[in-house]
Amino acid sequence: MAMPTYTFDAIIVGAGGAGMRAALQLANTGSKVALISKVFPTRSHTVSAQGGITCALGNADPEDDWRWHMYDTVKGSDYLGDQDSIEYMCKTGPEVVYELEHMGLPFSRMDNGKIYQRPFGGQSKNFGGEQAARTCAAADRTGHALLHTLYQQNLKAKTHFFNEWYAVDLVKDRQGKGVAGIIAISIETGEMVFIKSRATIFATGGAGRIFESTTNALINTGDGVGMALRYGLPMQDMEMWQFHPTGIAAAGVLVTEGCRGEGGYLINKNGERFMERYAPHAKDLASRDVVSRSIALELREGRGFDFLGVQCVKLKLDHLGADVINLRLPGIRELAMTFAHVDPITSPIPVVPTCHYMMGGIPTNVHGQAITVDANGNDRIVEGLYAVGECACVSVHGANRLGGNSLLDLVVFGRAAGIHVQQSLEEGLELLSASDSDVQAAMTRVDRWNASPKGESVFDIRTALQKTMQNDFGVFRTEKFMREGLQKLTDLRERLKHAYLSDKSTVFNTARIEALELDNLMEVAYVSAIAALERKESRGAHSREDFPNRDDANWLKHIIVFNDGKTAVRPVNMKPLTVDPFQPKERVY
Amino acid sequence: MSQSAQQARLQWHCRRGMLELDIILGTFLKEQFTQLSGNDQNAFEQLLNCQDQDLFNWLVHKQIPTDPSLLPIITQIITHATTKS
Repeated sequence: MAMPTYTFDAIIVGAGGAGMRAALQLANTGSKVALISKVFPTRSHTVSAQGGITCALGNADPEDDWRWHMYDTVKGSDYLGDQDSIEYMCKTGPEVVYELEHMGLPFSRMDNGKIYQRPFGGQSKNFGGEQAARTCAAADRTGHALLHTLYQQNLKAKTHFFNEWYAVDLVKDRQGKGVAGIIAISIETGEMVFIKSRATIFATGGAGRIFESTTNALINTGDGVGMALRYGLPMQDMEMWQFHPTGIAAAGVLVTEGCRGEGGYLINKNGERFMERYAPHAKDLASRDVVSRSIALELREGRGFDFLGVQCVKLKLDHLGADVINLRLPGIRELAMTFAHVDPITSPIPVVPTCHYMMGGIPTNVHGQAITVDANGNDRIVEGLYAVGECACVSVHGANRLGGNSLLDLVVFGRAAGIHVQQSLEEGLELLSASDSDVQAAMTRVDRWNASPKGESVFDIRTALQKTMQNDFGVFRTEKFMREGLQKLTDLRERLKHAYLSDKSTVFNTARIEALELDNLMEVAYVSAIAALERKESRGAHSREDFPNRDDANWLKHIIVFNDGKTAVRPVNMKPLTVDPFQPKERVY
Repeated sequence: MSQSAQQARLQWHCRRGMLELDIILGTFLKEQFTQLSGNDQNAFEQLLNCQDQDLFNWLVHKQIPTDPSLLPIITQIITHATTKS
């Protein structure tokens, strides 16, 4: 069978902010670039980042300094972030944002015409001093504006778009030196192609869909993470998932803290205002992680409601009265009616801790080059493979990401990877060749699904996977339940090998894509579970009941997990190039 | 393209960058689309070509679209989303 083949200098998988920024860097310098996206590029999840992009432009405060931003980010990461990467991001930020401005991104302005900057949580002046205002925005549509600007620029630069194509797996070269390219399938026609390239950049975003409750769109299935794991590469910091305490149960849409600020409070199935027990002073206004874990404990103790099969607590607002709700919380009322079909004027809103962001991912250096760890525990660069954005772990977010830093991460490291690929191409980066069996190996799972004669459905296995992750690896983590959860995942992983795709059609076979996505979700969930069990401390988003404190002596390091369950560690980089390192301190705000 | 292939294509095009839109558009397609008139089906397809940020503002924030021809289908989708039992 002769499979159609294309050849490019670089192929980028994923057309969100990071992928399109990388593509643009390369296309503008004359490289032949392909950009594969399973949805139309401007429908990437970057559009959900409405808040803004943080960097020390010094417009709101002329004294502002990227080193203060760096301090905030290191502290926010609970000291797990790599300080060389954070330094690079914060220092390069202003330059990258001005480039976006020159490309035409319509930033909101101050009266003097400079880019407006707003305050965000976790931002300080002078290394932990008073609140800073450092986040640039295009009104409440920053992600949208970023995607549009980059898409238009890529069209102009003649980037070749494979829209509505799905990347299946990486193809190894015949000598085992690195990546030869990728197998992709057209969602519209079912056609499969081999795209050869000198460099492959993963920019496939997050994988929040491993949890039952997530703010992530349906497309966030960790495709790059799954592909890298199957290729034999490890993931880093996969125990670090950021949660928000109150997403609408069975939907995932967030209900903001504002409700609780207006006097709303959480109740369990007995009608008890349970936050009074966990945080007698702050009660429902305690910090996010405290509220999240309190909810999880209530559910663990069997005091949750069942809402459409999902265990949850409820957010009570009806005592505020219709007038207050209509006046101060009209948006929340609309959300509750649309996504939970309850009117908070009369009924409480079902809510549950909800996954928002994946801090872990494919380990990379500041150039976006993927890194693996050899048998001796030494870092090895993976020839020709890069990762940027949420699927990568460079690592700037460490154990906890600050608001406004995700868009910055996308454009800074998308650009950095583009620059590095360009230099490598100029230095003669090889086009590696693959044998027929290498190509065939990358098609194994498509063939498997296409030939499946019978078995369990994708829906059933995915639902079980998401429930296990939510219950045993969500915000409440303890050895006993995680062991049980890992056993369930191991069983599910075996069952998935025998699952069934009933629809074998070719044109827009979305069931096949969902089956291929589930393969990736399973890999992501498995390594996340292993990492969560491995880290015997609490740090940032990873909070263990049985190890409630941070333990720098033993755990100030990255955890690496391969898809066979093997683990290793990498040191956290504490050697920024131009400033003194920030030493770990207790993280108080 | 057969009717089932067309439905599958629309289902994929209801995959958006925002979870809110995945839910609202996907649910409407599944539960209402086949019962729509030909004109309304065309309007739904036209709507899927719009930008996520605009769809979000119309369907979640209930803003009025500048193109009045989209208003009837938007109203139907909102009604379906908020009154579903």
